[in-house]
Amino acid sequence: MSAIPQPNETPRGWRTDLRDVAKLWTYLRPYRSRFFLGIAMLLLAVPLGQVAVFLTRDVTNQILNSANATVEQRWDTVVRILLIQAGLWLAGQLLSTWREVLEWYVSMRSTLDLRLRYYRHLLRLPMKDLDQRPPGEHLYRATADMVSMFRLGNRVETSTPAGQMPPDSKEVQMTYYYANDVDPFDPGVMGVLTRSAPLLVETTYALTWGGILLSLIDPMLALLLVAYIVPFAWVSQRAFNQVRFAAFDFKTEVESESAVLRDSLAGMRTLKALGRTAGQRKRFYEAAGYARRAGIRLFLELVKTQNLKQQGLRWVFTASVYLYLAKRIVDGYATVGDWVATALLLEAAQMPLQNLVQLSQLLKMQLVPIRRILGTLNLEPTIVDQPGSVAVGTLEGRLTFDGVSFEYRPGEPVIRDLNLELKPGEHLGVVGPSGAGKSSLVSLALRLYDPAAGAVRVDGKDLREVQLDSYLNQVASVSQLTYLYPGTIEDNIRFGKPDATAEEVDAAIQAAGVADFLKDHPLGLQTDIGEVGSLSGGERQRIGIARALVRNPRILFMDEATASLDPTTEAKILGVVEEIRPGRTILTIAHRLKAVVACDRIIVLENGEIRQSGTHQELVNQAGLYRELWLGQARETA
Amino acid sequence: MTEAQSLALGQHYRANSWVAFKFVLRFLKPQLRRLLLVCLLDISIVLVNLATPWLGKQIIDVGFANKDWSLVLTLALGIAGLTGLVYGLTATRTTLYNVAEMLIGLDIRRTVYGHLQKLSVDYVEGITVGQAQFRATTDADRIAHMLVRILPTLTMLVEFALILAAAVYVDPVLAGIVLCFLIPWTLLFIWVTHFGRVLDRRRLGLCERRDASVLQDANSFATIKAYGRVRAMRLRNASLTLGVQRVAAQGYLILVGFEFFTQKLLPYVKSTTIYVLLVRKVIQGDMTLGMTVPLIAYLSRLSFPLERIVNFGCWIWQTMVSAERMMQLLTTEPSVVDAPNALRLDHLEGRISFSRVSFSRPEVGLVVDDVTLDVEPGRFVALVGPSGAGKSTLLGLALRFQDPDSGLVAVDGHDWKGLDRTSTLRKIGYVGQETFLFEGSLAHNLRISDPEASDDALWEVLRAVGLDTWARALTLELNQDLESGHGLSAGQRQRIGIARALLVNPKVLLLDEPTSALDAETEAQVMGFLRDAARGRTVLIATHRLHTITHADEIVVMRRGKIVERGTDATLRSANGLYAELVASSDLHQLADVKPS
Repeated sequence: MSAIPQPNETPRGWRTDLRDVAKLWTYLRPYRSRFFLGIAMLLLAVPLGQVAVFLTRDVTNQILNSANATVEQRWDTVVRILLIQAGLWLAGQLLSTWREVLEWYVSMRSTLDLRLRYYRHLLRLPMKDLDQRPPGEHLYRATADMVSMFRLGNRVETSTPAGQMPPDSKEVQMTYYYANDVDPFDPGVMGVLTRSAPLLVETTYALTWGGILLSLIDPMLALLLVAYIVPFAWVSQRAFNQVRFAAFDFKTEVESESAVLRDSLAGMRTLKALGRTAGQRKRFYEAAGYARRAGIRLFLELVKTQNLKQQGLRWVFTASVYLYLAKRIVDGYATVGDWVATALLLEAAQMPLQNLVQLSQLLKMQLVPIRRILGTLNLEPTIVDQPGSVAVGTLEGRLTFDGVSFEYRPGEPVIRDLNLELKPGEHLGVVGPSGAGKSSLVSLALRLYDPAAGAVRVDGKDLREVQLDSYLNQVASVSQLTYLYPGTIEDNIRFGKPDATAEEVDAAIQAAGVADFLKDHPLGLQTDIGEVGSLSGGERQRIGIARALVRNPRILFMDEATASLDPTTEAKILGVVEEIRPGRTILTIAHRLKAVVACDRIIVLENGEIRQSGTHQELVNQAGLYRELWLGQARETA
Repeated sequence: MTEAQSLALGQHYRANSWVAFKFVLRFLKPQLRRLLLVCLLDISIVLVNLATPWLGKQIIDVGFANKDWSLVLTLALGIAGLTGLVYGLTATRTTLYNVAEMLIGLDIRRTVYGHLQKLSVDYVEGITVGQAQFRATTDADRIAHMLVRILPTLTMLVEFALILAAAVYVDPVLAGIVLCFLIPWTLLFIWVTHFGRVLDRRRLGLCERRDASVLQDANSFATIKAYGRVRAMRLRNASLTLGVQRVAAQGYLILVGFEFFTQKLLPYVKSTTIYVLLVRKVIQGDMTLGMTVPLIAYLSRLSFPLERIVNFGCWIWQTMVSAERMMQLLTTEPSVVDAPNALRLDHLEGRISFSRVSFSRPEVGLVVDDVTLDVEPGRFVALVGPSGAGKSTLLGLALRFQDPDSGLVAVDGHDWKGLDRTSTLRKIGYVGQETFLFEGSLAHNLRISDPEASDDALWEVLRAVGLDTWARALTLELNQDLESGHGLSAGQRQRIGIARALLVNPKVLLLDEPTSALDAETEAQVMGFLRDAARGRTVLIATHRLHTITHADEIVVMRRGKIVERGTDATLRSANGLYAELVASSDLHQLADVKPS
């Protein structure tokens, strides 16, 4: 999880941030009518609620209006006002609930679009961009980054199934989820637009209305409100920065705690074998202790902010408002109704005030994941079918490397100006020391990468000018470690050709020797990979070969396919390759020469260049690297 | 419960919820005093809150009515003082409460971790590392959160009684009406919790599948691309993502409806009812206007404690799964434990002997079958044989990862079961198929085997495995962060593993397929270092790379858990048994001869 944002990750100008947010607008565009409708509803719902509250003043005044009316008259007036209040309230609530659903819909759909788009983009990126990061990070970005990093307090309460969210210390819980970061109802990254925009409107609008209504009661009250909001916002802003740092500390500690935990569980075999469990236990106890301590510091920071600073300010403000009003009432300039209405209006102003503070926090928090998602989306998928690329017909099986140069990192060429042709039906062996560029040949032939210079051609056509899938469907590769997907053995073989007939699958498992070990499993092809425990290396490789064979490939790449196998299994698999050889072009890469002695031609690769070429017998009889390797390996086996 | 039983039950383990609840209660004990203080504070907060509204009543009825400014001022300052007191009490209470929760979480974590370490490697790998991690973190937090709430929730009953008494004292009819509103609230709440749980479980299941598929894809980008399956993988991901979204959407809509009723409509209807009745009373002169202040304050607080109690009930119900799992883990007895008066060997000769040792695994059966083998000090002994012959298991028994079902494994002639594990293992070196690199620096990774080792000692073992030049070239040398081995070759990792094993200058080296993940060239290199390291030590190596052990003092050939042949390379080759067969299939010359030139 090295991808977790740090509080000060690359400080950038707000212009760039603004541009990032603007880019997200693309994903919101399809839902813009709903988005704006939601904001319009907000403009209506806020005054409805506030006016309903305000009417309480008249109710109270009517009650006390004993001088000029009978009990029944007063009762009638009160009931009339109450009915209006109820109507206003209901309309306001229905509108705001509807608006909430709209907002949720817009953010859910646009985040979904973004998520799918992101994944599609990720898969289309060239290997060069993909292998720079550990796999876990892709997972993290594809899932966790999509949900926002921090949420608003009021959303937390409503966004979790009731009863799951403990009502105590809501804020703390919020940070807790921040650290563990899973929440299905989260507004997501798009929330930076879908949540923040309505929130901004709601907050300023609600405060303005509150101010206007208060000034109807007494202009002085509105002034007091302003005198309260400004220091409140300022203090909260500063205090929340402290909280944010404490939260990051907590998160960092929790992360290193879980790193120690992961290490000690995954490395348990090592620790036990070395008799060193106690040391690691101490490390975990410490890490867990530090994390809890950081957690407590975070709570203290929150208590300081909310219970001391914010409540303290509120306390001073409320006291001064009530004292002022009380004096006015005693002096006869205000009514008790004013008092009641003021109390209710102030109550209603609390929520927007909290939101105001958290809005900027929300924005700050969400910018980091947005930056990272856009960073990936901005990478160009360079290996894509060009416009005008053509499908290759049935392959003849000729593969040509035409003056190919290639490098993973600039200035470190792996293949230098290499010319090589595999004739249809030829079995070519490639040997050479580690780092000679052998595997890169296969990567280039599969167009996992494009060469820096020169061209890789199939049947004379440049790979960059053909429809990649039409070509890939006729070739297959087996690498040193076959990746098995969860599912049955058959699923894994059909990965090579999802629409293969039962006969084709059967032929492939016979040829690859999968059938031999399937006998031990009662479920045969339907054996679940996850349930058989561990398949041996040989079994995995045989499944890999069956996966390749089921495609009936015209060209087969064997990249160290037998390197990790025991000699018996290796011999079996080399036999299989011999059997399926007719009609196919095969490229075999090997360290151990045994795998290539039967080839039509063998090339020796060193430093990305072809040093020697010929049959096994020719090469053994020549002075050179091959002969040296041969004698060396022969001595070991002797 | 033994490890085997616990593993066999797996996720099907069920305990009585009450038993599981009582089991986890032990973690509450250390925080009892702190939490009792929280309860006391809670009650004082309620009492202050009950008093404050009376001052409000006096302001309206007496102060405003008589236009008595000095009385109003005194009362208002009183209210302000009491409110400030409540703020202070609440802050203290919240702090104490959260500290208690954190400490309970810490206690559970440490207990779980300690227990996990006592259990065998097979068990932890059997329940999977991810699950084990989940127990120590998420389950621990959930249980802590449940435990910490127990006492404050019980205090809610006291609070409820106090508020009810006050409300009934002021107006029994209205109090009754408010309580009636609790009935639909409770029913809805229980229904939604149940429903939410069902949906939540479905959603989590779907999320897991989605995340697993993303991780698979990320692990096999090259395969996907090489097989032209990008589109298929993308569609699979999209359908899984949409599945999650669909369930989440259902949950959301239900929630919105629920909230509209419970948090908006019901409270509104409730407060309007009270409001209308109060207005009526005041207009008719049955009650003063000021009296409405305490009444509204009490009535609005009346349902609050009960709502929380119901809420807690639902939460407990959800935590029980965690509690059951915790109980399953913590009641699983470690299969390998040190004897009470375990013997500490000061010095190791280096003799490892197996006599009539058998070991079986559930569902697999006998893995080691009546093996007798004596490895004398200083000898180089190789275990060979086809996959599944029991070679690695035998090494595991020598490391006491497990105890044998029958027979005796002995170190220097002492029964392993009677020896002190830690001190003995520290005199034995072990290198596995793949070296696990811990997070941290090169030095940290080497010092795993001996935290006290000096830098010089580290350089010496690095030299012994030919990594000293490489290490000197690192920017921070020994302090270079290895990033858990990301970017290191398999050969480098294995050599670090060997260096780590050599650091304690062990008398015995146990090597489990140390070169099987390496290519031929690296293998030759690593074997070279291993052969040098073997001098003067007992070596027991399991391997299927026959050419790496031709020089062994003794080669033991195993098949299906039994020893079928033993001897030197020369004697075994001429014996024409399994060994000769294995050699034949790996022999270079024979294959070359087959090929017509």
